[in-house]
Amino acid sequence: MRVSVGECTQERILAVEDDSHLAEGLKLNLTLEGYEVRIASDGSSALRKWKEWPPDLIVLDIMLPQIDGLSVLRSIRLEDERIPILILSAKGDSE
Amino acid sequence: LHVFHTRPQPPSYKVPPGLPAMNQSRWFLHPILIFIASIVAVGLSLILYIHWYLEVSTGLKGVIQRAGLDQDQILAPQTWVVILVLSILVGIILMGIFTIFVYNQKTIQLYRLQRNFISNFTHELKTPVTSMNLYLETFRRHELCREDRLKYIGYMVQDADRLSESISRILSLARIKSSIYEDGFVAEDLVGVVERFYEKNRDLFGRCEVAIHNPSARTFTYPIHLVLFEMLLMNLFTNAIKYNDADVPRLDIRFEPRGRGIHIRFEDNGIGIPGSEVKKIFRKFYQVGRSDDMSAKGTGLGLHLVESIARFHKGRVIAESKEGEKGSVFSLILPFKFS
Repeated sequence: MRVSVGECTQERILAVEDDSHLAEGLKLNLTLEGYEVRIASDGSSALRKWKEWPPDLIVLDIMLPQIDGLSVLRSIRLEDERIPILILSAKGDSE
Repeated sequence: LHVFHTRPQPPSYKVPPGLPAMNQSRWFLHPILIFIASIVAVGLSLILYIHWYLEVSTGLKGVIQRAGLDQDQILAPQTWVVILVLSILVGIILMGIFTIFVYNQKTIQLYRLQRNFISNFTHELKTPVTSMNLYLETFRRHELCREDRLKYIGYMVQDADRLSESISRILSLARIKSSIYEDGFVAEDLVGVVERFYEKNRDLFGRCEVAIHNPSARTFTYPIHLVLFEMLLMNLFTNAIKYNDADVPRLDIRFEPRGRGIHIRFEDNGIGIPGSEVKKIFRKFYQVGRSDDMSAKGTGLGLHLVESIARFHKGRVIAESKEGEKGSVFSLILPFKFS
């Protein structure tokens, strides 16, 4: 994982979020913090982008259309046990 | 926004083991297993009762023979009475078990539905709030140029609209379910209602071409609740336009008397509905895919509301869409006799 922040190598974040407003807001904030951010709006494109453009961190929404967030998480964990994944949820506190 | 951090799993775990097994309870407490076990137990006890009874009666037969009494008179009718009574009792027990089983399954189903409903609706409510929060936080922390600011304020306005749409939909749904609207029925000419509705809201449907056909030229008078009926029309109209990528969206409304009812067909040239989804779209919160365009985002309540309103009017709605072909047809079917 790249350690230096902002200067030499920008750290890459893949944000997986289906709600376009939230996705853009996430991208805006993380970009302003100096990260390189890409957005995936559903599970399959998340998995595709994760392979094409290996990120340093994944921000993952749980409720996604088609392939849900937990399945995406499982697929990623099958191949990569190290990559940190932050799970976002707009759901209640019940989880 | 709730943030959870999933730690990298130790190398020995290929798949997080907790995930698939989350809702598994102990297998021997499974209702189907208990159901089968009870039936086997009752069936077995019936067989054993009859077996023991026959054994005892054979013994008794010997005694009667030795005593030189007339055995037909004493035993024959009794045997059949005992078997009959036992079978009836066992039948009642089985029926009872079956009823409890079905009832239990229904309760579980209802519980699941309700849990889904709460979780989905919470999601539907929280997403716009989270989004608004996110942009407000951004404004507080960063200096943005005016152009960007206006763009994000526009998003927040849309989020607020989304939120209020969700709230008003759920409120109408709750009112329909608790039949608060019951007194507002007035007999109206359906063709006139649809025409007036279209004229009144023409601006909302923009470029969409709407045509209302009544080939039989009959008047269809039907008791409707105007507020709800217009809500139903609004949902069908906006769906025809929302899920439509044609240059000129088109909606044809046809009044067709058929059999014992009137079919009002709403035929559009939109993207259609995949065959596998046609039956699911009336479920609460069900949405076919998701459009990237914000305007196509709904609560997943629209068609469920349409169906509830149709039922409230003693009618029903069916959807048709041919796989691979453009357009879908929603038919509102109302019986001629409103009872």
